[in-house]
Amino acid sequence: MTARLRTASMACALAAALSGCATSAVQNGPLRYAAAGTCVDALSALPARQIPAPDKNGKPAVFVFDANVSCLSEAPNTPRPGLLFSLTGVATPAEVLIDSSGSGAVTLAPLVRVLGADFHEQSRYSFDRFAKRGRDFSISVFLNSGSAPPAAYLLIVPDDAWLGRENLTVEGQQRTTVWSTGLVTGAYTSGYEEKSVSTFSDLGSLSIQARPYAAPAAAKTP
Amino acid sequence: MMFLRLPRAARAALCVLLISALCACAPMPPKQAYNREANQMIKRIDVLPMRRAEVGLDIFNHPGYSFGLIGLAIAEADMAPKRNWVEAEVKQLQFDGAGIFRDRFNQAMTAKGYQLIWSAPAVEDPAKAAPRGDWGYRKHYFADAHADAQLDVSINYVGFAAAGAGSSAPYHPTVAVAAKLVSPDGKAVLMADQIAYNAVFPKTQAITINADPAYTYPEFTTLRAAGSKAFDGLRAALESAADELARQY
Repeated sequence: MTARLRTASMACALAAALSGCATSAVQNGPLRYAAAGTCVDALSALPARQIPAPDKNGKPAVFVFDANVSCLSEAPNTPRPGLLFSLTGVATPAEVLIDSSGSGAVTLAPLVRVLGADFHEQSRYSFDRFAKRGRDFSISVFLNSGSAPPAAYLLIVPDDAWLGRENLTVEGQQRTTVWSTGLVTGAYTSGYEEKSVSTFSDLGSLSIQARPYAAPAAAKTP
Repeated sequence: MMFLRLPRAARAALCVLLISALCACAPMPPKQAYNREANQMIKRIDVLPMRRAEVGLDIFNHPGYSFGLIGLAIAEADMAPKRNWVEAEVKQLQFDGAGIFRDRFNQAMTAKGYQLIWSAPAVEDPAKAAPRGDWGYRKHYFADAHADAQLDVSINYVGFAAAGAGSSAPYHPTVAVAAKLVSPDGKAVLMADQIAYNAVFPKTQAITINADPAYTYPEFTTLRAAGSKAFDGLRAALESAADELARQY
């Protein structure tokens, strides 16, 4: 009997471990940005950083939009987080891939602005140009050769038009259940539908990476 | 996600293989966003013959698939009469999924200034189907001097699908599309991505579209009772997938 109980508890533990393909952490806390420091009113006053290279496993760098992100207030009383990247080290043509994570209580709704050396806007990518991929949202921004004047900065701020709206995701999930008769143990997989809701916000996190752009060879893509 | 004109057993085996692959979080082939600015000269696009996709009815993650051939046989016996109903409805309503997708995609791309040149017929003959990989893309592309680019579109799945067998996984209209734009010489990929309307599987990297809740069917009986209205939902799903694909260009 004890052996059967042990088998059953092991089965339960295994079932829990096998449930779903992966889990993701849920971000809790405030739903709107409140700057920890003072705001700047000029883009040129924002600290510019390089787009980090992916880590050794190819994972792009992640930036969290929280109270510690630099505050930009281009118009009076409009504080918002602003992340400025210098494109100095990015050789063109390049593809900048930006992915906003939707796995927490809030989903950052980014607006991407490409700026020249004088901080004048050359192009912008509002959040409605992002593609929904499961809970996340992604976009590719291309920096092409021959653009005159060349892009010098990439600024990411929240897209105000989306703040407070709902990021609803409906997707299938899998659950593996282990069964045991004491003598024989097996497992089966079943599925169910899961709805997750997150709020579009000026908080959240995104990943970013830049890579040289060249159309890949057709023979190398499956 | 290949559901061709195959015998039921082969189709079921394929379904199990697909499920096995996706349960293991199988990585999607690399996607490539379209660089619109660098390809402004591309206006005239040849659309290669699309793969034929029959309207299906499927329960993904069906527990029966975990119990070997006997479980598979039981699951398929359960599904067979339901699929028969779908087939009958398709005939009665003359539902042409590929045609709906083609018309909407053509309309959306024309509005963006592209000229699509469709093969005649737009859907390939299954007897002469081009070899394709697991994700629906053609394995080979050939030079085409008549257009600025070639578009490989594959409707990998169209039908009513549930994420599981219980009432917690209702049937929804479901569409899965793969698209790859290649250069006229067939050597360079200008865009490649997948679109899933009703994401049956978790953690997909495809572009996803939530199913319209107006077409939610907790049981097969409610789906059958909805009749042609359910197929209105399938039409909307195909049009939504076509719009989303056009949005990438």
